[in-house]
Amino acid sequence: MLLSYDWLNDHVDLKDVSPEQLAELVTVHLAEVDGVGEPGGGWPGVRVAKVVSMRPHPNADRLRLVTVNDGATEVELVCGAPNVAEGQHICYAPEGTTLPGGLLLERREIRGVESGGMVLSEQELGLSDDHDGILVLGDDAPIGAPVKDVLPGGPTLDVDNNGITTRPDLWGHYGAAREVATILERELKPLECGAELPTGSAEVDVEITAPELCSRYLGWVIGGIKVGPSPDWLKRRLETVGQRSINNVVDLTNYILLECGQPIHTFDRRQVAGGKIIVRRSQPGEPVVTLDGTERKVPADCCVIADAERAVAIAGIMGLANSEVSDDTTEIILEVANFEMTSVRRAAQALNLRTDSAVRFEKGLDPEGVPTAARRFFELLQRVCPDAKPLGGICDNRTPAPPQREIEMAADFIPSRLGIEIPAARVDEILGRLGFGVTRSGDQMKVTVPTWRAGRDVSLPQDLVEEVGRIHGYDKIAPLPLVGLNEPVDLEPERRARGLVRKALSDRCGLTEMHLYPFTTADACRRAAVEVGPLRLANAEQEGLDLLVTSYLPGVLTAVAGGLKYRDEVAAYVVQPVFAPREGELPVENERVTIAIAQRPGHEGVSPVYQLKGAVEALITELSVAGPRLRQEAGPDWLHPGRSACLARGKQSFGWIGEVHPKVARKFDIEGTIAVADLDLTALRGATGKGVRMQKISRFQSSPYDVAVLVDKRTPAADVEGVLRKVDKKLVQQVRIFDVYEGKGLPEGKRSLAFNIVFGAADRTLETKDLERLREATQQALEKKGWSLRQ
Amino acid sequence: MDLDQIQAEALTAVADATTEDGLEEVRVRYLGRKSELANALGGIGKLPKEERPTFGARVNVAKQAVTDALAARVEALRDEREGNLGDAEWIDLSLPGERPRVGHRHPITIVEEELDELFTGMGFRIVEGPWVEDEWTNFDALNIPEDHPARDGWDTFWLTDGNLLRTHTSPVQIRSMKRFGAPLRAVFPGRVFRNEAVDATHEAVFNQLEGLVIDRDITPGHLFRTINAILSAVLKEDVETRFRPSFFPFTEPSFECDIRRGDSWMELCGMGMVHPEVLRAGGIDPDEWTGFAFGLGIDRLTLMRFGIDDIRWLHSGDLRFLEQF
Repeated sequence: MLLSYDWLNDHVDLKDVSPEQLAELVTVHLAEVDGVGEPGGGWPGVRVAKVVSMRPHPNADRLRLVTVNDGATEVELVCGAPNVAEGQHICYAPEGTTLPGGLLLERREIRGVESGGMVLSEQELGLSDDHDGILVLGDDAPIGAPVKDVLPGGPTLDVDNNGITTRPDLWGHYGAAREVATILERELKPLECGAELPTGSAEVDVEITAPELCSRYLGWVIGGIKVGPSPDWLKRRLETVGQRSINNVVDLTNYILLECGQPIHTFDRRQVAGGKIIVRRSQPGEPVVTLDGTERKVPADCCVIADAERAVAIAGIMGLANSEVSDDTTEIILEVANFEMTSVRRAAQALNLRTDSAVRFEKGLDPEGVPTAARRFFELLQRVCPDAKPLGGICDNRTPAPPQREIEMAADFIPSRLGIEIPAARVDEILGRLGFGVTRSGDQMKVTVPTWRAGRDVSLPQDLVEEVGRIHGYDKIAPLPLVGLNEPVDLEPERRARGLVRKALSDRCGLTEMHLYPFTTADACRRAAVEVGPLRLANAEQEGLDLLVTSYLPGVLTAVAGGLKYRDEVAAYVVQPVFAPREGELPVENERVTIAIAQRPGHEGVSPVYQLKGAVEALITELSVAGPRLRQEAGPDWLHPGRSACLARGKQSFGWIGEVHPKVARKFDIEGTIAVADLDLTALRGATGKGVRMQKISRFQSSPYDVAVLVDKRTPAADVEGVLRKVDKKLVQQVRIFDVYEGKGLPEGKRSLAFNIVFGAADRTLETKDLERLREATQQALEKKGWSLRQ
Repeated sequence: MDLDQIQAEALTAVADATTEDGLEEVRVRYLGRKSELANALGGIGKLPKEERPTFGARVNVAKQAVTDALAARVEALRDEREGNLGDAEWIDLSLPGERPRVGHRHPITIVEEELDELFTGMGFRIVEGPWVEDEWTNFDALNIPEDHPARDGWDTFWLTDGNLLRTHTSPVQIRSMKRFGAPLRAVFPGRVFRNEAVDATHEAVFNQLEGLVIDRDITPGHLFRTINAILSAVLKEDVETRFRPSFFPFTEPSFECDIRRGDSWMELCGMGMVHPEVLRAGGIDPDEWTGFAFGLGIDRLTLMRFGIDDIRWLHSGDLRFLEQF
């Protein structure tokens, strides 16, 4: 929302307050001002000069050599404007000036004559599209003065719209001026509205058949209209805030919108059939042509203005071309109305037509502002159309006004909620200036809310705390330390668990954490051979990207494929929730850890699946999960059937780990080997045990004993290890596999597993006879399983 | 060979050795298990009993002499070598370092963990909530009425079942008020979702942290002081702040906090005194308790902290990015 400094100055005296100071005050007391602007950027360097003489250009009939004097120097320059004349005060841009359009004026030759500066047109000043001639200033414009001091318009304040979205009263200069007057503690001048509205019999009949969409509609026929260009003051005002001048009548309706914040509309009386205005609900898909010349279909359930025969306006958004004011219009029907905010917003959205009018109605306007806008319009209309006269009285059709809103509260409510001392008189003054009425009795106070604040803006005592606080100044509130509540706080278990996952995987195992979108496509799920989940987004921005994930496998595979383009080895994980529907409740959000380790083909290093197993073991240790085992078996379809295992404890499964099936890897363009673990962190978190306990370290010497065991190829090493451990639960201190061999020298279908065993006791050094017995027992245990010792 | 001769030979060999390896050979030859001195001592039993002590002593004197000479020579050789280490064992330390594969936390995680530490230190609980929310908790309870523009769907991801992806972490305020009651001091970090076109500064999925304090007689002064403390800690500088009016449906009054950056102010976060309707929705009596709430954009802090040029990196899964942190 652009506020014109000069326009505000009409309503409150801004003497000694610069635009920049005003912007700062508005920001701190009302709403953020994004910047202070000026048309043409204030025209730096451009000054008022006088045309002192002219002579013809030697080589061009249509050009002249004009000498201008800016009070300091006289310069001759080439000028092509037809309207330039001796004695004129004009806008002179010397050589070196940058014009509002970005053009830098340099000395150059024009048809054989060197020229530096320029005499500017309205277009070159950035004021309008008028390029027919130079802009001629009044003779009172002081020679040498910067043109920004003499051109109408002046600075603007760009108020952030978000800050005033609940303040319909601030969408016009007068409402903003009320705030400025309050902040500056200066007088808000009354709006000049001329005579009361005539009440005689109206020449237009207004019928509201949809009162829920229109609480008030004032129609008024005005004659003596002469459509023509707007006077300068009106044009400049509109141009200052970025509007284009069209004609005097249309410009004035825009002026009222920008001043009062109340959109108004004018119809050509001739085009309104039957002298009748009907405010009704739209019929679905009514075809219309709006004022901008566009064919549209009126959305269902919005409000339409119709005459006796047809629609003439989409209420609160835009009039239709069929009833537009044109050059030969002599009589108009003025519409000042109040339309329901939500229906206007929805219709504007459906039409993709958020006009200045719609923007205001959708904030919820004050129905009591209707007559004021009508009066102000007629007052100013007489200045742009001196023959304008009312034809009959107004037809003001409305639903009854609600009673004036009152807020009652304890007299000390406002200071106590602000936490500062603030005298009652100051509170009353601030509220009074803003238009609130205050009465106090005993320790209670009653505040009446002005109608322009009574929409959804001010209804609670807390709202008044804000009014007083912001005007009084938040800088007057001293910072206070919090006291009390000194209990220890602990992280919630899910957050703590996530931290442990990161510690195990990022800190201990060298994996990189990713964040991934929790939605995916059905295609990606199919390629990854995971479930296409039933939970869908109804309005995904990106076509097809609408499934809430049941697995992060697709996202992880995509990321890994990307990573392998730049790295020989990729090791990454994600820890985020997956979603499953739950009848009558919000979906279940179970947290999953999905880990991937992948290598390019030919990369030498520990095989990904064994690295992954190591990482999963580290994770289990970090989470203190008691007793889960990896059980090798063919897993879900995305896993290699001979290289997958289930992480489980008894019947409870925590997820799967293994090499990704080459078919799946290929569908994500992954060459090489990739291993993935997909684990249910929520379940793991529920299975935690005591955690790490120290193992006693014996002070006595232990004895190593290495064995090589010949087994069938598919006999799991872990089984052999288990047998070796069970030889003597106390004295076998360690069993560690250090070699796996198959091939030359071994029978077909067999392999050799070499273990390093350590025998020892906590309380003594083992004697030779103990060691002999243990070796004997080891051999017997192996033979019992049908495994033989290799010598 | 007599002992004198052996000793003399050994001492010469020691003196002639020029390397530590060579000396070791000398040691084995003259003092090892199969050396002549060892043999001589082993053969002592063949001597007449009365000669044995003298002979034994003589052997030991020889062994000691050789041992001492060896030790002295080892030291001399080592000194010589180490005196010249700089040239003899020079390596090029400008070659790149090698380290085991190093893991990385996501940059958002790094900032979140710092915030966790900061807030737990200030006595705030850290509370999380579901990513999929119901409409009431995400909107109604937060005083965002049915016909509020935010509900119209252009920036909310709706699920086909009528639920939605939370548009802010504020619904966790409501869940926490119900769970813990008053007084309460908590922050709610987490991911939030907006159905918006994505560009360098806008993401559909991003991270917020919201804070809530409810107690008796909480006033804006408490809020301002808390924010000053938080921002100074997060930005690691003594920040100069100003508080100015703003609007949020769930707070009244509402404020925006700016921090000074040179001659101008930079908008940093929004906040306000908890709206009485929101307290009520959380089951807390607004006549008895007051509170404040504030929100921080974790993504923005992360981008500022690490100089990240495009918010889309955060969810890219691109390891060239992630491995930098």
